[in-house]
Amino acid sequence: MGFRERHGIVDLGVGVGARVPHYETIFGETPAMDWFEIISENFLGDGGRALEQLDKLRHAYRVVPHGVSLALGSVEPPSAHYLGRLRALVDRVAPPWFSDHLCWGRVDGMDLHDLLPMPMTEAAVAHVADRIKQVQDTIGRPFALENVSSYLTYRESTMPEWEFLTEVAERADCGLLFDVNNVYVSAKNHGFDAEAYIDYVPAHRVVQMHLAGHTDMGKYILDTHSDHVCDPVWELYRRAVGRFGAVSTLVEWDENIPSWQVLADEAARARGLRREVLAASGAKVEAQP
Amino acid sequence: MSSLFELQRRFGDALRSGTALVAEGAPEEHVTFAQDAMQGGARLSAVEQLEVYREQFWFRHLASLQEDFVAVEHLLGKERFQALVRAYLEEHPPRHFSLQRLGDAMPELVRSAAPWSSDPFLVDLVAVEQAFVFLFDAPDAQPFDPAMLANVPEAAWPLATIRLSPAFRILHLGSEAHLYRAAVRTGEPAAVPERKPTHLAVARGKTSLEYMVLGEPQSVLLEKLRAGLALGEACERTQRELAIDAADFETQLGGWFQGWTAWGWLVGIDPPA
Repeated sequence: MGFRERHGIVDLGVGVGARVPHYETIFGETPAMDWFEIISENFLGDGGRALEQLDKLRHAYRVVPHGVSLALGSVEPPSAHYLGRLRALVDRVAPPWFSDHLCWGRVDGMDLHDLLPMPMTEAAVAHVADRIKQVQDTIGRPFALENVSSYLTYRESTMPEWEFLTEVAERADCGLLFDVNNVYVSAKNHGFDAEAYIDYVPAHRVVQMHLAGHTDMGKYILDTHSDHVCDPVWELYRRAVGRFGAVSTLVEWDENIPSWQVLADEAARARGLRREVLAASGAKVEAQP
Repeated sequence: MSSLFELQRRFGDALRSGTALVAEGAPEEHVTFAQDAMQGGARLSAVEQLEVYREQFWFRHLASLQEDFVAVEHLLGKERFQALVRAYLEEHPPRHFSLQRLGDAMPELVRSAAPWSSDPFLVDLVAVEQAFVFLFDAPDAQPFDPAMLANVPEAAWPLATIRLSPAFRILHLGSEAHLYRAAVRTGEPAAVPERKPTHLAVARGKTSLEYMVLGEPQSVLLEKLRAGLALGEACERTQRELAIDAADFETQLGGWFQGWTAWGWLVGIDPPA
């Protein structure tokens, strides 16, 4: 039995990231949207309006927390304080899964606030897999691991990224949050085959996909979530849907945040493309409310 | 690389470098680290690869502090503000998972480090902006139920302790720096105010962050109550320190309590055991 089936993880449809500039529309008009993803760290405070707004959001929509600070690859473990707050947030939201990245970001007591890439070695696989098991046990919900965009490669890496991601997920027995844009960005930056990446990862573990825009910096591509999803990423998404099936999809837009309508249209485009690919494959397309 | 920890430690040090790794005079140890640890590729050399992350470290934390200290940047100008941020990150690297907490030690830095400490208005303004950021997601507290007052026997009042909201702060400033902040945030012309002792209460209200200028007796009494002194002792010390007439003080006390309760600054009263 695959990961999704074992954990009863359903397809939520196509959602968007909940961001403050859209709150007026979301809370005022309750527009149609399949689901929302929240950045966990924005809701780990002691109190205030953020938690009130979260409660309003989760009463109207399905909400899934997506973190940026677990830093699973860091040798330093996440603090008990952080894990306790994350547990409280996950308990409050009761999502079908929660997610964070395959990266490191904490060292010498510092939080570097970045998703820093791991050297892709056997030792790193073992380290991250153990850390994920601990986190999954502590939080008590299925965990999905996201592939990050990267701008560097380590001399000591011994395997390609798709093997590294797969090895970690298999050994930790966790789900995957497959970021299509991140695969595209890293493939361009490092010159690997994005389609081979999609074709390699274990489909049954993919519980969610991310779509986003990026910025071409000339010598490299930067993952900025600041624009529309570009055509080559839509093409990769088409391939990913064909391979992974009816998997929840989320459009991220964090910089140069557009109007609600533009974001909703981007989600609608993903929804249409998904429906088209799944219909062609004969799969059911019924997002769970 | 000898170990994952060693790699992460040297990587973290390189990110915090104030100098671009591709610039002339870049710290040798970081350049050597990049060349030893990174592969480089067709698009970027090993050092350029690491520089992408160093630059992002700087931009991300600068942007976060710009958002928190809008009025301070307005006062200092772009270049001096960036110099302040560099000095701050050097002295206080990020140690909290939340960027919301990144500027917590900024008041301490500008109070104690040259050249910032020689500008008293800057010290005030940083304190005001940081208080607003802190209170944004400070802990919630159950609203104070005025009916609780009736349950406290009159004789017990002097020994009762008063609990203040965790989303409430008093700042003792040398100027009305909050007016400068408000002007900058609303796009009005902002002028550095005259020096004038100012006791500013800042609190998170039901829908927004609010502030109020207090007279010195109120601010001193509230500080003593926050420190845990029983009401009687706090009042007595405040009167003595400020040489206030006891009858005047008592006349005003009831009104102060009503205001503090209405504004949500008080969250509980603990009668003596």
